[in-house]
Amino acid sequence: MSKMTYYIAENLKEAHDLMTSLDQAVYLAGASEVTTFMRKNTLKPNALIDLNKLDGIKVIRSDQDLVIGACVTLNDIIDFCKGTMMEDVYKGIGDHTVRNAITLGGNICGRLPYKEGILPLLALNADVVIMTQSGLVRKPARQAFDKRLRLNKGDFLYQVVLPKQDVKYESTRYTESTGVDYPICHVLVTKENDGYFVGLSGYCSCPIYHTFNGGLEEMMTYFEPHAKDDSRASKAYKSHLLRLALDKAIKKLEVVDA
Amino acid sequence: MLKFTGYNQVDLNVNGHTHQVILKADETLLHVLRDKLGLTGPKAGCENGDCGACTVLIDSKPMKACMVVALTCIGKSIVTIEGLDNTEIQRAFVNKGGFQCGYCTSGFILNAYAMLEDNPNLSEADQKVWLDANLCRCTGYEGIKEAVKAAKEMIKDQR
Repeated sequence: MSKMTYYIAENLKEAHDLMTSLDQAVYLAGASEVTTFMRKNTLKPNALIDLNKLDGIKVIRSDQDLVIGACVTLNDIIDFCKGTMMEDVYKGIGDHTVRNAITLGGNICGRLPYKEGILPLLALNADVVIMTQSGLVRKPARQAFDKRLRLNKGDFLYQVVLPKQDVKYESTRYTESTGVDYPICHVLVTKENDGYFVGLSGYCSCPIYHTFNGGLEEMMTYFEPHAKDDSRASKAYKSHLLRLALDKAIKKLEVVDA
Repeated sequence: MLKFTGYNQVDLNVNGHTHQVILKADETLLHVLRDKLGLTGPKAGCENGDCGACTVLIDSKPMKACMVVALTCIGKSIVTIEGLDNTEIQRAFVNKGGFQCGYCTSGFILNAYAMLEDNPNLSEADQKVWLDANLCRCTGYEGIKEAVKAAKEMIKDQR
């Protein structure tokens, strides 16, 4: 008989308490990663804690800021944020049908290394709202994210808050062959103050980012040591693609800015 | 808090009917539909969310049933290929030869059906975005594209 228990959490504290009290539990948002890893037997949870019924976790609204709940699907974000960086970055993740399941929180906090969902949040200096032992805590994504979203046991991403701003950006996503694939390298560049923000996914084993005052060579000097060989591409090829993407982005953003 | 442990009898709304099904927490919707309800339209292709052969509609949205925990479907409306009856897209697939072995066909039809219900005037580029979620090893996709085009025309004429 299956030992796994499925819980539907009805409030934030309940969800947090369940996770901290149960052995080998996982949170469930879109379930796309959890089902895949369970099938491959690389994840064997004793409990699934479904977050989808929590108040505010599926909200998407634009008032002073853009507020997105962690269980909002990527397709819903794309539809709401047409013509923006969010659409451009998220439309490459998975395929259209799978994006009806993949959630922002699941993409950022899941086990896959790409976590492309975090790139616009870092680029736009968004805040993340995390449910913790002591309640909801809001902090800058750039503070909360270091290789992954830094969460204590039981904590989960509740919402993200993005400032409304007109930001010039260039997003380049390289894949092996077809359009639907994990990225060899996804490069997101924005103009920030007098310099640039650069965020990468797929380049190494986690998303990385940095801000620069200098240009292409300074960026390459910073990122090149981080490149990792994987099944999709060698680090040399990734660095080659990164250089192309950064060069294109800098030229385009300089023109836009002029 | 709702809790489901071991075997649970739940109601699932599939193709407009309420079915009482015994479910475990780790069962995917694909296996519940095929093995417990006998609805073998959705196929187990890759079981990895890549091929789209398992596509069903959940609350009118195409979803890959191999990646859906069945218990999350309580209170939702599920439609499989068995629940579509003589729709424009089905007739178009027959008329235009949009299939050969038929294994991917259920998934393609449901995805295309949802796409055309959502917006029958979608551009070709946006259609490709939707239909890139399904793979076919047989047809080379031309018959499928012709079928979708024909279904669009039928919908324009009839609605």
